[in-house]
Amino acid sequence: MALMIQHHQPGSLETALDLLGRYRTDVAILAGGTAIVPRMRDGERPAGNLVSLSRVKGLSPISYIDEDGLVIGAGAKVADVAMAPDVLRYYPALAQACAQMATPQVRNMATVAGNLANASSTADCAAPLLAHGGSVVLVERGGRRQVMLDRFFAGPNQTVIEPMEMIEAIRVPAPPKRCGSCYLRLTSGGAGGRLVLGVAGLLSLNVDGNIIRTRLAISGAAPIPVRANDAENLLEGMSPDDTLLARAAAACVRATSPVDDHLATVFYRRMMTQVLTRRVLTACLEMARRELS
Amino acid sequence: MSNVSIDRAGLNGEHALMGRSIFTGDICLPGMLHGCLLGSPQARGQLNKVDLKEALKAPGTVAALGNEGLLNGQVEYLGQPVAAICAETADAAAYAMGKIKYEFASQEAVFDIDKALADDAASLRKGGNVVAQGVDEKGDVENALAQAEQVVMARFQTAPKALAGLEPAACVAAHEPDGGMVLYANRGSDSGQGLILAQALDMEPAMLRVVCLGSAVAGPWETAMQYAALCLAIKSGRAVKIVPSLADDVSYGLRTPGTVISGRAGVDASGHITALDLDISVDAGANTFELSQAVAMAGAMRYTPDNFRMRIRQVVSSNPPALISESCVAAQVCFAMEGLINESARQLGMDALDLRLANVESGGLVAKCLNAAKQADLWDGGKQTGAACFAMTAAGAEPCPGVALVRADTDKETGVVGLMAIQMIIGSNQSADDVSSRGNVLAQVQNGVATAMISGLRMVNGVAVNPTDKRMPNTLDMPKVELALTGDGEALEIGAGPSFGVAPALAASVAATSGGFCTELPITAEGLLKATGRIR
Repeated sequence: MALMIQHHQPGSLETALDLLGRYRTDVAILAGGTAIVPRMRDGERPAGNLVSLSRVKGLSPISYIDEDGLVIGAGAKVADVAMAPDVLRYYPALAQACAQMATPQVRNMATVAGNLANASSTADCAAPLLAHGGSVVLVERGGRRQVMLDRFFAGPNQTVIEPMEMIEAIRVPAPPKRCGSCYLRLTSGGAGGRLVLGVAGLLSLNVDGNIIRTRLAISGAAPIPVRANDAENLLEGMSPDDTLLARAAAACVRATSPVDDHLATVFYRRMMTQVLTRRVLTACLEMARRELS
Repeated sequence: MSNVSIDRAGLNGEHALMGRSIFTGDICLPGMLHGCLLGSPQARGQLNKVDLKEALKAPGTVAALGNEGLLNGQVEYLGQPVAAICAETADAAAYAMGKIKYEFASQEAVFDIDKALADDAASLRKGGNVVAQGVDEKGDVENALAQAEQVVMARFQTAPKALAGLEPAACVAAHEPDGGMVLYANRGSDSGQGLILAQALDMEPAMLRVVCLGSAVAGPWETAMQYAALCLAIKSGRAVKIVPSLADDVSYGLRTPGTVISGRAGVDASGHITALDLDISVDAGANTFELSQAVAMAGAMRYTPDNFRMRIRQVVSSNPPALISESCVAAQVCFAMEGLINESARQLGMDALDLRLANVESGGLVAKCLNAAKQADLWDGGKQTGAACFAMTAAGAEPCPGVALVRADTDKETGVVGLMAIQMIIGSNQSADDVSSRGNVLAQVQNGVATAMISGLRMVNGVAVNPTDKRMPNTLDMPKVELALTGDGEALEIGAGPSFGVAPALAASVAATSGGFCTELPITAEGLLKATGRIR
């Protein structure tokens, strides 16, 4: 009946990994704590050991290099990512998601990596990172591996993170030229309410103004955050106009499998997927065309 | 042993801001045990036997309480405390609670107010499911409605709202050196809970000192928790603390009642209300407390129609107990009545404030507020701003009326409503600069925004499916709020009235900008799309 929870505060990544190795299946990572602490307050016991990342050095950088793209450390706070100049400039969809997620108090504590690791179907950061082609760097004592985000979510609240592994960083490739990205979301009961639906998009044009790449991702309309491949295929190689964007928005609904819950009905989520996708694509196109000119 | 230094003044203000306040859940007394409540897993049934033997053998368990005193064998709502246990640690108490065995014969439960009123509904009480009713009537409503030039009819439905305080519910029972008992709690009032609990424990009231902190109210569930803590403290001879989960607090604790209100308003071409008819059904849940005058639940009346009828019924259901008190559904009645008036004005193409001015006592305080509202910067004749009158009787005082103006922006495609500005014109001569008046009004406006858009509890089969969504509006939700006090020389107590006006004024603004007549609270994006016909 050992119900006590031990709280560990390692000072280095190596020590944190040692602790993960020592406790294996009876350990959980505590990053911002905005998901795990409320669950504990409700009487849930996530694991017998909590490994806090608050004192682990070198986990919080947000850096951008043209050749490599963006690296977000596992300890980087959502609020810091929202304000990072490189994120604002090159990854508007991610900046918008980070700036709108939950409340300022939560954003100041929560980490982007934690938002992904929870694997909630309504993770705000997941959709823009999927749209931007992000991947997750997982580390364990023996080495590292990089997993594309569209293979990272294994099911509701489940990821491919193995025991003894943890997220070290999130990598996002540099955006293509003549590109725009955007994230729009709907919440229930005001701006600080829970996410009902979030749609992120990325669209890039060739010099003639035709679409060469589109990425669309949705949070809140399926058991896990998903890409809308059909809609993407419909757009790529085409000359964009309102009719095409509307057709793609309708196709985007096919990627969803929402459920009725107290926040919204299936019908509303499907209907809004179409509305938000059209608005996202329109915003992306406008942004990309500005670079074209 | 039980002396705890409580700085009541410090609970609000700097202490709370700096995290230095001691809340009830923080109280830790020497040798204190931790208690746990076992809630009924069924919403209705007969609890025949509670077996505590195995639970008492669990490690660390000190004392247990069966259903004696907690209920008379009949379970009336999900989560109703049926047993309690205390142990050396909270975890040990939770473990032991899982060892309690019971025999339960479940019975048909009724959660829906319409089903509870149906002829073939299971009878939850001996006398039927309507435990109290009242009528306030003047003139011949049916005849006036038949002759009215225009009749607006609507069915208004409002969700219950949890009254749980931000501080987690908790109580600590301990022994006093003089042989009496002390209870520290954060639900209820010192005198109210003291008398109820002393009677339940068969104690001299003087031997029970109750220290209630905060302003959250206590209902049957909170009282049962406090009773259990005291019983366990008496049984064990030690102090006992009970801190239920937030989900239990919100689900089973006291809430405002849900209501269904069928309303009709008849008006003539000049905007004179010829008849007003309201049929109000109040879902009291498992609460059977009856007011001597059921119509007192509806609060104060502001208009002077020649023909008026208000029927009110207190209906029991298998939902957890709801608050039944004077003016307990005044906000819901205000939403319905003002909704009917706003819709009448819209259909007549009249200024909503002019229509109201035609139906209040000329030269009275309400008329003064309405005239002031017409001059307000925010009033645009109803193009985008909605209006509503309100009045709330503070205890034993004259009603303090006022007018709420709300401007909102609606996204017709998504149904999302954004609050832009709120202005309150209040018929009291208190100074608008008075910090206390201003603070009260702003708090009430915040409460009104919560009722209008945020805080509705979604109850499914007697349990809230969104208990952790409970929150008050924060700075992201609140628009700019302006306050004007325009009294008649009297500094009337403002009370909770301003919170009533927000929802109907918001609904009017939404109707003006989207065409959708919202009759449900809270107003949701999906609800608005249904009102506009985009979703059927």
